Amino acid sequence: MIFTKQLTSLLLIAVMVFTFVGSGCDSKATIDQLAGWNVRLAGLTADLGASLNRAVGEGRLSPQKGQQAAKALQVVINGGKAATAALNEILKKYPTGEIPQAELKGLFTDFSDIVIKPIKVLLTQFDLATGEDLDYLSLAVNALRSFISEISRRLKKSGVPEAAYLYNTLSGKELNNV
Amino acid sequence: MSKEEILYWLNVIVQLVQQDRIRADEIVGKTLIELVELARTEWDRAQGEVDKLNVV
Repeated sequence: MIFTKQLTSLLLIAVMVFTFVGSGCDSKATIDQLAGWNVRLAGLTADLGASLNRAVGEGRLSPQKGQQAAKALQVVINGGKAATAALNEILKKYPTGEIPQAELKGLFTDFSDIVIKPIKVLLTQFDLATGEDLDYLSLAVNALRSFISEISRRLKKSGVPEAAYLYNTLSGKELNNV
Repeated sequence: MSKEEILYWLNVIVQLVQQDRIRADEIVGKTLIELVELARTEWDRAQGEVDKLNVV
């Protein structure tokens, strides 16, 4: 019985170490994950824009509010395009996807500053909205909010050291302390 | 907000989340080059939607 418990503990520790070391050292897998998140954020932003256009077309949202939302989304799009260009540069420089840690860290920092932070500002704006302003995007942006939470959860699970800054931006917590 | 409006926007969220799940499945196994290309296409699509919102 005691042996089984010890074995289970050892197995658990082995899995945790493997997960941490594997995810921390495999820059190819990390960059693939970041590139995948970028695609999903871009898609969600586009789908959100399409939903807003449909709502304006159906008279459920005033054109003025649609334009307010467009202004906020534009900041996210600018960041997303810049992040994609940065990814492309990295790809040209390191075609195999094996990227030095410092550059990987820089990429996560850029992604955090130019894509995630504007989205967080967007979400905060809708958190603060009241009355009539609350009646449209506050619900619709929850899809973005749920995806941001997913990124945060995955980073917490994988513990990628280079992504500590991004994790802090997402949750305000230190990655090393989770 | 009326009950009908709440239901409308909840439906929007459900659609967005469903579409995101489909996309998450589609990107599995794609190369980095393909992911970058796909991201570029999707950000351009987002830009198109925002441009439309600004025109209305």
